[in-house]
Amino acid sequence: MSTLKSKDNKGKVSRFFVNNAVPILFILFAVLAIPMANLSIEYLIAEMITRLARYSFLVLALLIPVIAGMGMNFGIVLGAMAGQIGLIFVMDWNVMGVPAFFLAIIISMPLAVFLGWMAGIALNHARGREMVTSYILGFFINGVYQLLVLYSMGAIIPISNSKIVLPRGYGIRNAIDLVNLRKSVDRLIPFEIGGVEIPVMTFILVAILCVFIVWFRKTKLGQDMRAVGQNMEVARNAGIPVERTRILAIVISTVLACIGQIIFLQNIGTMNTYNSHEQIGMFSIAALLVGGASVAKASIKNAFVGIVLFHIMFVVAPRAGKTLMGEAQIGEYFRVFVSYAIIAIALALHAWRKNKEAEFARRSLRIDTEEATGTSE
Amino acid sequence: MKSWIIKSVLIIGIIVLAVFLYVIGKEHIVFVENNTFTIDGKIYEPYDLVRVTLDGGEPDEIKKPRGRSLGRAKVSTTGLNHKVLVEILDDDDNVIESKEAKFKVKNTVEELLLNIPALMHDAKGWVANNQKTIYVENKPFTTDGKTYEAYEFVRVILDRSKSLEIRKPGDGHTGMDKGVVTDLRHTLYIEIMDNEEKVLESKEVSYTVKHAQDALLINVPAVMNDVDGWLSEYEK
Repeated sequence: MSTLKSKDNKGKVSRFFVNNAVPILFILFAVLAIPMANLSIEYLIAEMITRLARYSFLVLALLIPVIAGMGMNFGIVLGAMAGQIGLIFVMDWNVMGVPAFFLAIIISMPLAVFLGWMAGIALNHARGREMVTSYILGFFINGVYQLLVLYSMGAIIPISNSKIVLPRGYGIRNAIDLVNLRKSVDRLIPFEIGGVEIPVMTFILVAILCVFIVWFRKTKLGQDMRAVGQNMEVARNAGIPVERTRILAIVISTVLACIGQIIFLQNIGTMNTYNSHEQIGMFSIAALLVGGASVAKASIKNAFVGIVLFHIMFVVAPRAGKTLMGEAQIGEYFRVFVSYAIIAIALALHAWRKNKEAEFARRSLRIDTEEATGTSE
Repeated sequence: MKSWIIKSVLIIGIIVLAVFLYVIGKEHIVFVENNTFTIDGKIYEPYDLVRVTLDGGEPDEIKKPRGRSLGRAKVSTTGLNHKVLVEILDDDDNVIESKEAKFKVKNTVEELLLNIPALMHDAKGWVANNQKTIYVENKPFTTDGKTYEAYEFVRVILDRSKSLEIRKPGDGHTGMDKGVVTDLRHTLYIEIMDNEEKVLESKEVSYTVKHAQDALLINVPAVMNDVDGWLSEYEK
């Protein structure tokens, strides 16, 4: 009996390590790399605050499709592209500050809803292969976006501001200085602690989104999504419109990503018209996975832990690389390699964890059965 | 039905909000100048040093135009209603005289020109649109009983940047085109061309737009023949 209990405890410990393998790996990495990078704690804290404000909305946008059992939505780049189109119009019209931020959201939202709806339909046709489909969908819409921005804007869509249009009269410049918008939301409520600027308004927006996600999970639609995520057939038999629910999950995620991209770019202050959106899906998903999420389960806590751990690596890796190898580029290569490797590791770990969980469940069942029948080793 | 009404109200509300955000967020550039201002034969001279505060923002000090100094400041502002505080300063930066004025901007106006001597004397046109529309016509021009005929094909370059190509009226051509220029002093370069776009004749002239003028009309045959009246106020 006692041997069984000690085995059970061992199992719990091993399950904790299995469940949190990625964050533990990153914490270890941070513990080793921070002293090597020789960066001050104040600098690291300031960087983490900036990056939390910059990425939180985008990472949180991934949570709802996970609830609906659709895995990591690589299609958030669709929302990001919609957000960028909104920003292009706002810059063309010379609208400034916070009104520009909200106007960009209003302009881009119908486009984000449309793209999300389209992606949702496509993903319903690719059940069980949602992640790879949304990833490829991102490439497809990226092509359409490039065509629209490079050839239609200024020629068919009226864009006339010489600061953003290419000298030939059509097409948008490669980089747009978001001078009208830079940190307009971050600095709306000015606040500093020990010289570290706190983007209060951005955190308020992030907090509103967290409250929305918590509330949304308790709504009828949220419960439906959870049911669909657990078992589509059971959900369908229970009268839940499965396809519609899945489309709504992607639409909400795309709209949130659209707002997230606008928050991200107002913080950065420059928009790379043809690249800014490309890495967003990959980095946001990597951050969420680093936070301990899996393709089947993700929480708000995972999002914040992930952003901090993932971005500690961003800040620390080049400096640590310089200390170790004498060249910052080595650290930068390492960072890029790790960013992509994390997704691969997390997906492999997900499969491994599923097997472990099944094994744990079998073992627990055996212990319960043996306890009930009074037989033990 | 009820759901449709709610959706329609929501959409209209969002559109109204978008328009409101556009109006309050639209940037207007205000060029505040401490330059000589002439209107109805009266001349208002610039001050040695003035301090200008627009909408309670950072004050700008503007000296009299001298040497490289243009005697102007560029201020960015948003919204339709504005307040400007002008303080005339002496050599020790003491305020000799001050005046506060309010003005409105149309949402379509990108740039404004605010003249301080004119404002201090309440002269008409102290605040004007800095973007002027220049209408250029290649049409026959008649003066003192003499008519100067239109050219087959002309190319007009406004301020060495904006190019207009204008054909003789007829065959679907209006004989007219327009361009937008900013500020008061401008150049006009005209090339008379044949049908193969070979330049036959060219000419460059300079002209000044008055503060209160929003649109001007230039007649190409009159410019080419040095006839008075080649530049006039455009009337729709």
